[in-house]
Amino acid sequence: MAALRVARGLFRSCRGVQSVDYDARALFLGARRPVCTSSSDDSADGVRKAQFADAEVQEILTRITGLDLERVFKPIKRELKPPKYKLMTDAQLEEAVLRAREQAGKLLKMPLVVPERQPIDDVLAEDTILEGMDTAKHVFTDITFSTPHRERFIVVREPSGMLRKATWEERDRLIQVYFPKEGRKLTAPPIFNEENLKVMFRQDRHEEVLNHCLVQFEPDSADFKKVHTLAFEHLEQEAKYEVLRSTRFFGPLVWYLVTRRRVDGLLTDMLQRDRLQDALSLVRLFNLVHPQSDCALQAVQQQATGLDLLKIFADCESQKSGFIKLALQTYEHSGTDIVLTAPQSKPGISAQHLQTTHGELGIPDYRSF
Amino acid sequence: KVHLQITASLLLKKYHGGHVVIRMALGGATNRPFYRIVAAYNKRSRDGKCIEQLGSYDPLPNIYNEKLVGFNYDRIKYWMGCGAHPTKPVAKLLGLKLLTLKIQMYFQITICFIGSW
Repeated sequence: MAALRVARGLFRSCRGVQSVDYDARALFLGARRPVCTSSSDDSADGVRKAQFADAEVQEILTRITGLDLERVFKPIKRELKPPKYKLMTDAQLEEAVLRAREQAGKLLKMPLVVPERQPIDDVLAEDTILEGMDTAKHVFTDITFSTPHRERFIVVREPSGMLRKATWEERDRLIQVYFPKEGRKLTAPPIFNEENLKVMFRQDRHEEVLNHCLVQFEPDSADFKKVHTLAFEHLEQEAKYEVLRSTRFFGPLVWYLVTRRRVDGLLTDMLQRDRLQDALSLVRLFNLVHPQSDCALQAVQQQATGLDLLKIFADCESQKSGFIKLALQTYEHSGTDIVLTAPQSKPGISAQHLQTTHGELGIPDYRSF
Repeated sequence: KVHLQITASLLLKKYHGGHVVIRMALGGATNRPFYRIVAAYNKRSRDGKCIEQLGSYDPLPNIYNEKLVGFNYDRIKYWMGCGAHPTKPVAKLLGLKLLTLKIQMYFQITICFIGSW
């Protein structure tokens, strides 16, 4: 019948057309490529450099980030409700703390650090016969619900008759039009202008800005990278690492510094706050990311652990080697018992604290408060 | 009765001699048209009850000088396979070669993604 003839005609006319193919899995394929730009002798030597997404790297970064419950569950501005009080036994309290830790772990999940996306400039067809048909562009979006946003077809027909793939900015905007995400605006809000960002950084509100940036932009877009770079540079200059200490952005901050070999400030800050474990993890991470550097090679040669690692790092790489060596000497001479395997005690409620305030029977002793 | 209407094969048509079309239903406001691309029975009113909405078309350009067209190609393929006829403006947007000979030398606005079958 006529309908079948139409369908067959469609088949025939469309077989010659090439299927639109995007480099759709660029997000995760790109993460395999090396992130750091400092040294170029990576693939030539055959030594595989550590990437952000590696299990070991992630483990080190989560350990360095720390888990300060007070900080993670800081009161956020919300609808005003009367507070809830609960009466718990010791065991229930410990359980609640454990659950809170797990929840904090989830909240501290690090946002992806992926290489910046390459601009799309692919022309599908040049139909000059259509030139001058219209003064405006036509943008065709595929709104099939089940396709992932990265694989969605979005093409633009220019007034000149050219049919091209949409650029990344156009893609983001149109996907927000047809599949709106909560909190994301169509155009970037003015907080992400340079001057306004500086104002926010002066007020130490880096975490707010970075959370907003995470919602607004895609992880591999230029704007996302720019905001993060500005935030991290500001923190590095002012040496205010504590601002992001127990937040989800500490990992990316550490990664940013390590890939650019500017670890000194962070290391000295850690030593000043007596975080020896974190300092060791940091040096280990540095060796993982730059396996060809002097520090890493010497460490492998001498099979160094503990304070020796820090000494080697101070000798080879750092510019503030004097301070680091002084700090190490104080550790050695004061004879502090540094347990190198167990993690440092985190601030917050611990079993010891509970025992001192709650007596042997487990009943709270109000006289001790 | 609802499921009988949804499976729109030509044997189970609701209207006598009617067929399914893919056409534009007008909405919006005064001096501000907005079309929904819709699969509906031929005899139904233009803006009335449709079988399924397959997309939208905004004829007025936005601040970036773009006319936004959204197509649910998956479902359009299904309805075309069921034997729905697109109207001329929809066919223009979809980029199908028009059926009647005299208009066949007319324009093609976009390549047919149905070719990715």
